[in-house]
Amino acid sequence: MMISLESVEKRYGSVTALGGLDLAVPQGAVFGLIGPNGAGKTTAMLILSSLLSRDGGKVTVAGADPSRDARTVRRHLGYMPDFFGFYDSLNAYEYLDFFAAVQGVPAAKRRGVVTDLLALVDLSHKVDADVNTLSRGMKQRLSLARTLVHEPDLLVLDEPASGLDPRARVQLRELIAELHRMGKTILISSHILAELEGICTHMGVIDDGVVKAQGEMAAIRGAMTGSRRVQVRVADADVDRTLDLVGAHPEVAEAAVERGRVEFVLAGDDDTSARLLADLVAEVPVYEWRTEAAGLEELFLELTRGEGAA
Amino acid sequence: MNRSLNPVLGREIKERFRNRRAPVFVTLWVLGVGLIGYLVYLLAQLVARDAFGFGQAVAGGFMGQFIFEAMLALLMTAVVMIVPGLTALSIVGERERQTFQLLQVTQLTPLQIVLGKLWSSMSYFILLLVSVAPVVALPLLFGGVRLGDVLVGIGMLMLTAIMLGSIGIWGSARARSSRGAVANAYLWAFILAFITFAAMGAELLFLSDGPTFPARGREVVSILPNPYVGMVSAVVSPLGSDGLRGTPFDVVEVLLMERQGFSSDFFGVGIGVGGGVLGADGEQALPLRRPPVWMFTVGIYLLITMLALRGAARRVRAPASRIRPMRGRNGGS
Repeated sequence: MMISLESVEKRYGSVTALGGLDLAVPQGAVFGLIGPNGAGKTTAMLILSSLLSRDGGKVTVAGADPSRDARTVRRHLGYMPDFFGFYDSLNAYEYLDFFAAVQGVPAAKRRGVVTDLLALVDLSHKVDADVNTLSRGMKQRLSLARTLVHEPDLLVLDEPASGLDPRARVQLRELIAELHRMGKTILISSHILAELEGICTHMGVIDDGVVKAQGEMAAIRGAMTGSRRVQVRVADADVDRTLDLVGAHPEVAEAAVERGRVEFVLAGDDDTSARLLADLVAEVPVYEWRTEAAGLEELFLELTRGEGAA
Repeated sequence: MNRSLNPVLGREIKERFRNRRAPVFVTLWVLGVGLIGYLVYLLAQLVARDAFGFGQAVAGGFMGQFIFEAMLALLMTAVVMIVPGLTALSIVGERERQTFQLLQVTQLTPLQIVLGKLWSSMSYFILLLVSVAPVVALPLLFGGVRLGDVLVGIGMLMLTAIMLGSIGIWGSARARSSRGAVANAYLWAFILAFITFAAMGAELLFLSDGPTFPARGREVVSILPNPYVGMVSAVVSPLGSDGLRGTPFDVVEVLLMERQGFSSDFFGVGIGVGGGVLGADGEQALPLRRPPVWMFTVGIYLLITMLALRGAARRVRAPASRIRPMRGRNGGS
């Protein structure tokens, strides 16, 4: 495992940020850490990046404990926080050159490293541009390049797509896919599932300081067999009554009215679905009953149910 | 790691000198020091004319000493006023522009980060010193000042700058806001430079048996960390001096002479600066075997510098090493 967190605890005063977090990120994986705001994603990333102490548990990153051998961890790790950090009067080249220097890249190699990285993140044409003049998407790509200056095996990216426009998100996804092809292990967090669904090989759902589910994407999708998203069309006058009826069902989650239809996630098999439909038809005329297989979003909603998430 | 130049220092220098304010400040600084230097020259002329009249050869040496001492006092005041401002924002500024964690997660050690910040501030201060070198070197043309005195004076300025810079960085590493960091840096600078004079007055009041300086009593400790006293002590050896000469350092030199067992009557009858001569008691008394003040000052400054840099480095270090034993199933971290 490139990253292993076992029963990691972290408290801020009386607030528990991590309450026994377990996480295992295999080498070469693109691991998506998904969870609502305040779930503990950033805290976990700071701890494994050697930037925050933990109150308990065991952490291993690239074979080293970040609290005992931070230099080894930092040699293997490129960390990108969920904010931009830029110096006022440096251009893109100087910015990367500085971070290459502080990461110990020899002066003779730095020019080549920086030039290659600017090309990788498609910023070669902005080599002389003041970093403050770059767009948000460009800054994010430059930040990603910064994490790569010392050729780390592991990238820890905290909400990298936050605030990006759709085009910039696509570019970032392509970049992450390219880094995956280069053999990097990538831990990437987000509170927006759609950002991770297409690029991750593994995923973990974190909420309230603990990981609720984790594993390969295929396995997680398999775990969702039997759950489905249901849309029900009824007369306008019956919408509220229908919402109350399905909302009271123990296997229903996230019931809501969307464009005049009652939508919800139903756990269980086809029999469960049929029984609920029969119960509903007995109470109100049902014009349409449409089901589709549940996706990761449903898993996320179900695992973080009751937390006011998403 | 490239050992030739601390990367933080390189970037700081680049950033600092690209800033438009830097050349403006240096220009104003040179003009200000030049103007003050000229006023000091005029004042020295007036004092020399009163003391020696026209055409006396000794007047040249006196003017040299007068200007030299006035310029050192001016530069020491500049150190106290400028250096805290140069370093106070060094670490808290990284926090505010969100680059602090980016530095923490690199291969740089906390001490390298701190020293990079300190040397960049010192390099700027050295630039300020060099830019006014012609004005400061003016006394050498008049004579009466040895090159050794100049070097010792610059040494004390640099040591004071490094000490105050270290305190500034320590405060910056502790501060949660720029305002707090600046307030902390200037508070310490003012305590050392000015409050110690007030403390000295209080000490004299409580230690002295009578109206005289307690030369043969307890050491007046509050003067030991004062940068002005330390500099005067280093530049002018009271035991080797010819007594008070009517130059700016006399204000402090009289304290040092009393401390070593000489009497200037300064505290007794208030003869004051320029009029002091060694009193009859002082001439007859054996000088005390007290180490000169500058030795204490240098020692104290080195200690403060070391502690401040160590404290700053501890604050800069990512707090990942503070781990309590695991309670529960894994038994420990």
